[in-house]
Amino acid sequence: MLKRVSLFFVFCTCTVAHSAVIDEVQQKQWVDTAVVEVFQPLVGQLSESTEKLQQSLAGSCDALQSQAVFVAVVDDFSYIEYYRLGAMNSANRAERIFFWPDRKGTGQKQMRRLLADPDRGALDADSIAKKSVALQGLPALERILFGQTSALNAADCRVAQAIADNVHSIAQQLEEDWKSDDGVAYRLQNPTKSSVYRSSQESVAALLTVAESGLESIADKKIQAMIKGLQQLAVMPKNAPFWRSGQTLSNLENNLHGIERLLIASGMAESAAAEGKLSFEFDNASRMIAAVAEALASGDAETAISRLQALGFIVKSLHALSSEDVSVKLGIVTGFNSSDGD
Amino acid sequence: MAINRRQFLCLASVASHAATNSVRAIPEKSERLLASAYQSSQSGAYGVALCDTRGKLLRSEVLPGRGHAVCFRPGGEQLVAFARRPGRFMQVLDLKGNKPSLQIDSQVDRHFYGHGCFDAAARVLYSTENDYQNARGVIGVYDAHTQYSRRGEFPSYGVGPHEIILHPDGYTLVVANGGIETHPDYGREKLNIPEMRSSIAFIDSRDGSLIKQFYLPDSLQKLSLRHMAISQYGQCFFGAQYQGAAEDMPPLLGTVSLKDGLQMLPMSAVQLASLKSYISSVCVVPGTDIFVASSSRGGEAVVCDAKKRSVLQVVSGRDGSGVAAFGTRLFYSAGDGTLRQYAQQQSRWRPEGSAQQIDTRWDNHLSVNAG
Repeated sequence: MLKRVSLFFVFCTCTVAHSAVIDEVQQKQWVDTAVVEVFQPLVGQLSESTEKLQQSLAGSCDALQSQAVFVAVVDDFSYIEYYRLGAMNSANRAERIFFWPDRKGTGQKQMRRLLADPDRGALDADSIAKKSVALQGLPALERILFGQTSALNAADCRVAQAIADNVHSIAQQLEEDWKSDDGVAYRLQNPTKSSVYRSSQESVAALLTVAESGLESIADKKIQAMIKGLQQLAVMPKNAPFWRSGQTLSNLENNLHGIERLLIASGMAESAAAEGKLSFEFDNASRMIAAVAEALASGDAETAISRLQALGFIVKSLHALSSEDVSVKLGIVTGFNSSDGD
Repeated sequence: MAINRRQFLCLASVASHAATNSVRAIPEKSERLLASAYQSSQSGAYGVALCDTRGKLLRSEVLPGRGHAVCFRPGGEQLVAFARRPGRFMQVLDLKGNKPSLQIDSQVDRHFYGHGCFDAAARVLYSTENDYQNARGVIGVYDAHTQYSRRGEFPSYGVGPHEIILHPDGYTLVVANGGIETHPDYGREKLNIPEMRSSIAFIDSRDGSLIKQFYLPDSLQKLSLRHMAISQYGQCFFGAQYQGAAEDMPPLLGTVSLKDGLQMLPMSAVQLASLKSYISSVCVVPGTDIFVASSSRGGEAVVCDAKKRSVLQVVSGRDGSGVAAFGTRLFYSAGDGTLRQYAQQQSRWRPEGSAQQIDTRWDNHLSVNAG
């Protein structure tokens, strides 16, 4: 028969812990502020910069000339990369604009094939949008703009233009979703029983999930990929995002800025009395990223690895601050299973 | 290492013999036990626990990492707790004697997906595993008579196999291929969402061959079929998790059988909104075509009649996920340590007694032994 064991378990008649009583008006305020001051302007910014990239490539086939514009697009995209709400999650937009990680090198293989295709000069945004997601977005365009040659031949230039057009089209769809009367912003701001957000509390929970899953992904995926690559190769690995254009670390830093802005500008961090702690830790992360860059610039892979490991800890600490100091204090308790039960 | 034909025939002879006796008599005075993986609220340690049907803790054992599903070996001698994806252990607990637990590690280039099932003879254990270098699912085959030595594997006929259950015919394995590629280098990140393709495969355990496979229509390409339960009549009920925009609110529940194929269960917008695109666990009420599907994200579980294709009732429990049933009783465990019990009265399930809450977090699944 089974042995009866009493460990740390304490039995009691159930009284489910009640989360703090939250003011519905306050919740709505956080959501409204996040929509108007965070999501809409940042998504709008991406739409603007992708339009500039489109124009730049339409005006010149000199890759060098478009590189700075591309860098600005990556900066703007990095801010919203983890804003996985609404249109970003449908029609594969997240992957179409940024297919990463590309574990099997699909982008490279497909791009090689495409650039060898004599009919590539006939590509446009519509036809590129029907191809593999690995060919449609920023990593694919980076391959062309930061490749071997500066002056692109007409056909390769057409491929770059088609990708830029496609990226701009996706950015416009995201912008439209955040502005339209029936888009994601509307649903977040107007919860109903039969909608994906049934209450303002669920809308707030969705915002906090954006922050928490973003931080988790940065720590587990991006930073780990860099560490692993550096351990093997002693230089920034080719599986790191935007390594060709040298934006791996700025992508990471802007990812964090995007999450910081959501938590702080929405007013959620302040209401949870966690603004100071969060800002302090986000600043630490920025300083550590600068320190990693310094180590990489001097070719000291070992130091870069230990600094990336430290950065990983800082991002984990930010995750804990967001999930405990902010979420719990705002009465949004993400359950053990509901966060990611599998 | 693929299982060879000789190994198959040896193990299959046991399985097919048992198939003819697959409906096992349950001793009247046997003890019903509930089991679940958990995390300690205090120390954060992971473990597996056994309770009686009043929710009283009988035994707990620390696991090397986070567990997922727990599977009783028919006959009640042992239970197996599986590591949660991408974990690499399964832990075998001796329930009758005092033997120390046995930890079985996954093969070096495989990891577990958190589920497994025994054959009807209680000899062979099948587990869903990831051949992550080749991005394909496999079913690991373990011999319970030889300390769970791994005898080989066969394909799951898809990517990301999750729950595996034994069909009442005694030899068919039903596998939910979630369709999502993951690789340990990227933790739990989903790597192939645009191309994912989920399916349910009916596999002949005697030789690992595919009997039939059912796919979702293109319009539901981003549904990941994960959890299943099967009635004694061979009706399989499944629950899915959606990888697209939450706003889409696609159907999440359905049935599949070799005879009738795969069909989704219609639900209202309010019901779908409450499930939050995420089914976390499924169980069958034995002897019926009634199934229960929980959504930890929605904090609700729906009781469905697979024959009438309708939702009979909704029960609530914050972070509730584990569901298990026997006789006229239904159990519902939650991440806040609550274990709720319901008793069937006419066509409704009504709460019975006070819910028990302990200082732990019940993990995704709850299992009940055959008594």
